[in-house]
Amino acid sequence: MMPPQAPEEFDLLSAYLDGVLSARQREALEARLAESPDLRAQLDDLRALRATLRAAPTLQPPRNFTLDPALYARKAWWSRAGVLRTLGSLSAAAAALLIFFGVLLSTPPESPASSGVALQPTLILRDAATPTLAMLIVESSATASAISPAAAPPMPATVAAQSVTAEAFSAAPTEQQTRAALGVTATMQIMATAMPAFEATEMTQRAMPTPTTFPEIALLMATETSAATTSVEEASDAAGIGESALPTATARPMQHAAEEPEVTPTPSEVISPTARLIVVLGIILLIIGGVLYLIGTFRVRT
Amino acid sequence: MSDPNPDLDDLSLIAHAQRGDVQAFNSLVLRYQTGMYNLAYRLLSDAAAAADVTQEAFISAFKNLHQFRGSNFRAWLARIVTNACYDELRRRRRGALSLDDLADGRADAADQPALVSDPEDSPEQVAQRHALSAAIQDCLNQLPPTFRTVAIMCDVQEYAYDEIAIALNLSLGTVKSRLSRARHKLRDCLRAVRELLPNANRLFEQKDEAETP
Repeated sequence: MMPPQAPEEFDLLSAYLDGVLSARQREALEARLAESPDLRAQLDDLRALRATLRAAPTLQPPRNFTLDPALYARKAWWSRAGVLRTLGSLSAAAAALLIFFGVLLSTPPESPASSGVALQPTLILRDAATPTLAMLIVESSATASAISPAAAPPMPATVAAQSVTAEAFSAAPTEQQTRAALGVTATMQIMATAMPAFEATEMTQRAMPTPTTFPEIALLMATETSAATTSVEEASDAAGIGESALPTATARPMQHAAEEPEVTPTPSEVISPTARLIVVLGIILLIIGGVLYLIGTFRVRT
Repeated sequence: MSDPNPDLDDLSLIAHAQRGDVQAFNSLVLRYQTGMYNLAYRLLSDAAAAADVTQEAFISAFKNLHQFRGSNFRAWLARIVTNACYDELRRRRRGALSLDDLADGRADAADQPALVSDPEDSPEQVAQRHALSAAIQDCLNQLPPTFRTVAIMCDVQEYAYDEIAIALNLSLGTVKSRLSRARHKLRDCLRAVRELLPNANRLFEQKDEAETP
């Protein structure tokens, strides 16, 4: 049997066996090994121990541990369930907020003149017998402002409203239909001014020969034309925004405005460009949100 | 199942798998599953638990593959496997298993999984290797888990010290001292194994000559 042994010595022998001693430690140990048969016997014992462990047979795994690609294949982030729908809902909610603040900004301060004429857009709406369209748009933005997964579904309503409005534009432009379209615009922006709206009716009739494929730009352009009567600067602003979409519609109001300089606006009738931009952004965002939501729903089903 | 990507090295397979390629990862599984299963079995001494732990470890490895930055995939996998084994051992200590299982650390010979064997081995040789495997397992079971792990990795599976240091998050000095203490504790038990299985000595000597520095 082996003599009792210092742990430090055993550590040295163990490390020596694995070849992890420093050169100096190794030389010192080898010098002692050469002198001491006991130490050599201990090293042999340790070597046998390691050999026994290394001879331990390898066990056969009972099965393969491969992963099922159907369960573990990673999908792209945008194709995972719910991501697109959540994005769509969120952007619709953001759109609703934008439209809401745009409308707030464009609402003129309370004044006797504005409250007096505020009824007139409603009258136009009744004439056109299309109050539900306006209600739909207002409703949809109201529903969307409640931030919840239910924020996205209003999209079809808005789309329907837009397509009906588009019909009104592309059909032979009777005054009533044009007024209907304008009524919708007026309600959307809650314009309290009736006079510019009437001016706009005339101009939109003139602008009619160029129907657009993007109805809500036409809608907004109608608003632009109404604003154009109030000041020349406003009209040139509008031309800058809507130039590519409806060049003739913006050119004519400018002429019109130049021809009739006697129409002087009161400050309360001017809608700030910022407010209009916010509403435009809101509507675009609403459309993007709806499309994302629909794509998301479609992809999850397939 | 055969390796679907026999020509690719580990690092390219890892790169593919990190981009979500399950087949590339499965090639890695096939390359490492025997080593990882043996590590788990020698640590747990329980064939079914070792299989479960190994499967869990590979799933966890795939899910956390983006965290792999180093170059030693075997050490990284071994770290996941040993951690999963420690969790399993902790569960057992809390009394999840019956008292009979805890009473003695002896490996159940009937429980031992099949060995990777040479088809030329005679039935006698296979039986002897089985006995040797069980006897070694008995000796390993007498060590505390942290010492057992170092002994299995270095002496049974022939990991280098620095690989063990990576896998167990230890310094080289700690690996060295733990291994020395594990060998010290194993010495008498393994000497008895050698005496009990004199015919197995042939195996030891052959292996030893090739490895001695």
